[in-house]
Amino acid sequence: MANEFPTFPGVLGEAVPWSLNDLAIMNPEEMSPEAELAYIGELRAYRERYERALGQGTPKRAAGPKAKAAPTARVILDGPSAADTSDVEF
Amino acid sequence: MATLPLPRVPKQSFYGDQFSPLTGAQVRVNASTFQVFKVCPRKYYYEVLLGGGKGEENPHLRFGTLLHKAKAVFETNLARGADHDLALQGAFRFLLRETWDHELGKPGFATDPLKNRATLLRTFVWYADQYRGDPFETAMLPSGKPAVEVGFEFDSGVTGLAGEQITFVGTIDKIGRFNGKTYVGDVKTTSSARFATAQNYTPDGQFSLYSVAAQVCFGFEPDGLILDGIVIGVNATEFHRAIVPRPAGVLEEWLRDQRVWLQRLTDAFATGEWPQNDAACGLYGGCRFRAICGADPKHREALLTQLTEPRNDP
Repeated sequence: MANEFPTFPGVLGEAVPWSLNDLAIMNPEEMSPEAELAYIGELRAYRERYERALGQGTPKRAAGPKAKAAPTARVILDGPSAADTSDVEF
Repeated sequence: MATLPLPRVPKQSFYGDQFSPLTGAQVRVNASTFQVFKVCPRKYYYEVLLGGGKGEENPHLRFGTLLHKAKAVFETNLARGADHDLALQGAFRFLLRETWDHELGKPGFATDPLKNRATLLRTFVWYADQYRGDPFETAMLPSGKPAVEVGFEFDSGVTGLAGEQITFVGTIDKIGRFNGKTYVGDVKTTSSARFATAQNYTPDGQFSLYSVAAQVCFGFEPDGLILDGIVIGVNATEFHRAIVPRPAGVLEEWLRDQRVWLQRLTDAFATGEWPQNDAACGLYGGCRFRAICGADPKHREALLTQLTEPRNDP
């Protein structure tokens, strides 16, 4: 497969799975929701391999300030949000 | 000192709506153009007024803009009740389409080795997963929309050449709550972790402006900012989060200082004088206009034309 644009160089010498760069050059207008999810899944798998190769195990949380407690309810400045998935943007 | 001709309408349409049609002077001031003026008035003249600077084709700017837009889509989807993966898929689809060259039928946004379509898609998926169930909770606006990519404009207290208000404008990445406190969130993409620190944004004009805007335009006093530093590498993306303080006294001083700087900016438009700040030529890895400023003035126009002409992608 010819890579005409920057794709993924592989994880520390590991070969890039064909499916990742194959998905990367698909026309999004012709891409099914399943293909989108597969692409996202490949990127997640790529991250796991990368961090494992670095000896970090599973993906770690970013260093930085820690929450003191579990997240509370979503903050409402004024008025509720619409809990309706029908207008989820695609 | 000889004055420089002032274009009535700045060549760079990217900033075009920030200039007075009456005087040609900038009357809606954002953090990035203001910073350029503070660094060097001559750089401001070349970059902002003559259009020799950042444009939408700039990969760094485009990368950041698309990442912010995708984040807004993602947050909006979450606010509308989508779960993490559905919200992410929507934002991912947005990025796929935005970075596709529909005319040529192939992937676009492909020329830069570090900031390109592939690294953008990777970065966004990893970013969303990194902060899944984020304790820095997004606030909701009165409209019911999440407080992400929130535009603002407020009076600076300085008047322009035609007596009009000069305003500060900008877009806040996010307003939210963390550990019971209110923060302004800001995402910064960079190629080096040393730029993704609180120290690097203390002081910083953009961060101070956003803190003031949160008070003036949205009626709450933030306890600081939360910096989400995103370090883009060829192989991977790393994330660094930090709290950046902005005490009230610092902001009051900052606002007073900005009025002085705004007056200097307005005076520059009135006089047409855009002096070189030759103490800044070597900063930030070296100014891109250095060769022009160092050339004989009679050759500068030709050199500037070369710099500002659109480049064709190979």
